[in-house]
Amino acid sequence: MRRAIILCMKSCLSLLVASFLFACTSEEAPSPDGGTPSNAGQAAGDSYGASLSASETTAIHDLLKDKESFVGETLQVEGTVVGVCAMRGCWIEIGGEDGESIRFKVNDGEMVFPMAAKGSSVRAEGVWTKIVVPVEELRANEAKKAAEAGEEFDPQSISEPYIGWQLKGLGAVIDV
Amino acid sequence: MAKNRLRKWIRVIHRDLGYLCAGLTLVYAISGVAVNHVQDWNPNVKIERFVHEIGPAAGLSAEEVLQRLGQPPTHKSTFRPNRRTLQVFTDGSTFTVDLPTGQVQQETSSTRPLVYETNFLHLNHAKKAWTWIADLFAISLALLAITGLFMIKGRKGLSGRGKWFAGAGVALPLFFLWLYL
Repeated sequence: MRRAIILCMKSCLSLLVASFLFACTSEEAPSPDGGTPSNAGQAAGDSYGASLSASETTAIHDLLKDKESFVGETLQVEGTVVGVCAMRGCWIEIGGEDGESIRFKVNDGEMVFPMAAKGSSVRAEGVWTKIVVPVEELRANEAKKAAEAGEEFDPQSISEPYIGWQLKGLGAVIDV
Repeated sequence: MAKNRLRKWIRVIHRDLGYLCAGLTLVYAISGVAVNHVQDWNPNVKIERFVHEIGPAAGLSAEEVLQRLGQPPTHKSTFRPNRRTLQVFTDGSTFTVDLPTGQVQQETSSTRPLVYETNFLHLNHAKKAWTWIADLFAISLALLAITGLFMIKGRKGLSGRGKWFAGAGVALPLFFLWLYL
């Protein structure tokens, strides 16, 4: 029995050492500053998340002009990356031709956009989403922040809910 | 006799796997600390901000702005979020120009040496074959843990003081699970 265990241990050790030594190195090129493209190095650009499927793009200007009517729709937009989440790379700000921009947000870690994407062309697809944060929640958040900073907070300073808009990210292609 | 041979092999495995895993463990340890504090910093990228004055810049092109800043004129793109602001994107920097005053905010980003590379491996951004190496490393860590328990017998072994240390190692995560979950 013990011989069998020893034999098994020898085999495991040999297998592990051999595996470490002979496993191939990765062929995927790293994004220059921490992003996680799924097809880095391809001429068409770096892909993030799911493949783009929409056949046409929606202009950012049109989207912002009639925000409510697009809620819940899966849309593709095109523009320039004008901002990137500096902490986790979890969102990019996409600028349109006339200076307007929208936020393309993904769940933390799902896609990580590199800071180097700033200024690059992007096509992104996601679900247009309206975010409403009620007054009570805003007050609670601000009160917590103020307490942490040792500052005073007047709950009456917030009287309206926060309304935000974003494209909840499914996939993006950033030209390199 | 056979018991001694078994223990000898446990020590051999622990020793050689330990050598093999030393480098990998350091990679995961450095990155582990870095990403543990992801709320407080970007563990991959270092961002620096500078302010420049170039004088009133209304009507200047992106090339002219870069020229006034002493930068090469090549840029990736520009963006005008409003009438008084021009953003110029170059490789590694974003220049945000307040056109009437000519105040320019420069934001540069660069990868953090060593930490970026360790994060790249730890978070498996490499994927493909590295996934297998990472799996093998995880199995090796499990083997190191198991063989570590049985390397020494007697007073300093698992039946002696070892049981208290091993017990503490199990109790710690259980305690925090009880506390926070």
